Amino acid sequence: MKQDIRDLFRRDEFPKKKLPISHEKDFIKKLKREEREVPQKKKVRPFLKAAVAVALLISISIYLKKESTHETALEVQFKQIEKECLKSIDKEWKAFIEVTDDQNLIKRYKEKLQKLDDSYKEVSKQFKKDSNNISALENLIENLQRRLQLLKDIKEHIIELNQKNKSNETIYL
Amino acid sequence: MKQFIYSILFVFTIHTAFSQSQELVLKDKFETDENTMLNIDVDNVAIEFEESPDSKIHLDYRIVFKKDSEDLIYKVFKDIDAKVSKTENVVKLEVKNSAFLKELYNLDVDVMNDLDRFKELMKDYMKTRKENQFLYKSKEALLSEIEFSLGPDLHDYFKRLKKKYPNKNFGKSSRKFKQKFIIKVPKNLKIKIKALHSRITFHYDIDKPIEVSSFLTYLKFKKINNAENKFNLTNGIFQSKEIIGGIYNLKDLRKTAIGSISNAKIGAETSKIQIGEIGKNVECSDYNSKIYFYNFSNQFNQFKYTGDYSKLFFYNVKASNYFMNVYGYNTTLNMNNKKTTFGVSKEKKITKILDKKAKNNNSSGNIELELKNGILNILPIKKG
Repeated sequence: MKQDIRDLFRRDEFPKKKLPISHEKDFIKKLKREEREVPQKKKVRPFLKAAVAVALLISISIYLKKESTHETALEVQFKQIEKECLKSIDKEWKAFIEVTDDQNLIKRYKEKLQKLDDSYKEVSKQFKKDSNNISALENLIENLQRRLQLLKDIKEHIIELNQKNKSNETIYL
Repeated sequence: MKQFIYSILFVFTIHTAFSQSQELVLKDKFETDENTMLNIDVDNVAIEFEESPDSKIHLDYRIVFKKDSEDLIYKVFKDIDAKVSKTENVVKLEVKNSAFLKELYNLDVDVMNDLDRFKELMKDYMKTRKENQFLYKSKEALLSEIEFSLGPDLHDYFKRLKKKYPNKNFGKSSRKFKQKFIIKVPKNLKIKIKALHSRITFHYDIDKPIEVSSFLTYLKFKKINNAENKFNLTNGIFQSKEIIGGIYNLKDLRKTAIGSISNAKIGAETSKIQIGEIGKNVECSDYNSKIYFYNFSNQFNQFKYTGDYSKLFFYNVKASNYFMNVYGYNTTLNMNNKKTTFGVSKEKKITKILDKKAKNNNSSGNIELELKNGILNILPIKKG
């Protein structure tokens, strides 16, 4: 049976309930209570964050501990060698530029050493990724040795040229 | 054009009794004629060239794994990129492997097993090297060194130790896999090589033109014989038993050993070079290398050398039957345990430092040296 839905609300059987007088006050009270509950929830979050952070730190420290145990075997020894070699390279470089005034020679060596250093950094990245990579280690050690040897050789070369015994007489054999 | 790409291809696996496995990367063959060229562009690979039994190029590239590990096989093959094709009579091989496949630094001893012992051996190695640095070598001695050599002096030192003390255990390399790439080529093939961080060995004499351009690569040849040969090598190691003809630019090479050389030009920079015998018509120009000229052939005719900051070693000069003229400035001569620096002038004027006459009319040739800021060592023969 078809009927107009608006008529349903006009009929008496539809309950016509009046809002209580305190309705507005009750609503405001409820709202305030809700508001009070919100900061209570917020108090839990930092605790959770801290718990997560502590768990994360513990995990990281366990991981780092494992890493550092591994580091003791090879990386620590290598870091020591690296430190000493770089110090010696720096020392040899200073000694080299002290004994020569040939700017072209200095420039060439600067370029050579820069190239070797670039290559060193590249291989270092590989070694950091995989500290069991003995071939990368061999490459790094060779690179340091090469730099040191180059500087030692050229410095000794110049010192030998500057030795005291000079002559301008042709030698006949 | 048909291309054959075998980048990640496991065709078959051979298991050996030692749980080793061989995984095939690439296998192919190409017919050639007298005009065929083999063009190679490779990174991080080890290739052995052998003479082909027929007129075809045969390529066989495998990886040998010490242990049959699926993870490792996956990791290695992920980093391999090899392809070969033939277009207009040019066979092109391209191998662009990642650094994980690195072939050069592979000392065949267990360093980690006994680090203190390793340190002791390293000390001995450095000491031996220092003691032997001025020693004379005959051409034959240098040829056997080249034959024996794995490349770096340190690797050769351990190889020699293992041979000397067969019952001592020096351990094995920690490396879990090895590349095995054999290319069999007909002798008449022209070859062009571009290589990076690789190891390339030729087991046959090359008579056709070969061009090599490489960076940090270990190269080993038997005989290279062609006037059109062109080598541009930077870093790495170059060893050849015999060189006839060609131009060789050697920059920053840590080791170069040449059994004998003739009709060739060398351009060097900051390299260590040993030459067993200088033959006919050799020219050399250099900047800051250390070069050992151990011997001169009976008929070398002419040897010309110009160098700046070079350190040269000549042996048994006085007794040899050749002419030798040395010109230069600010150059130190080490002879008879006496050091003298010649031609020191502000004008940097070239003066004659040394004049040596041949012993008789049957002179073996004429050596002309021009040295600036150089060191010339004239040493007696003291065999090691």
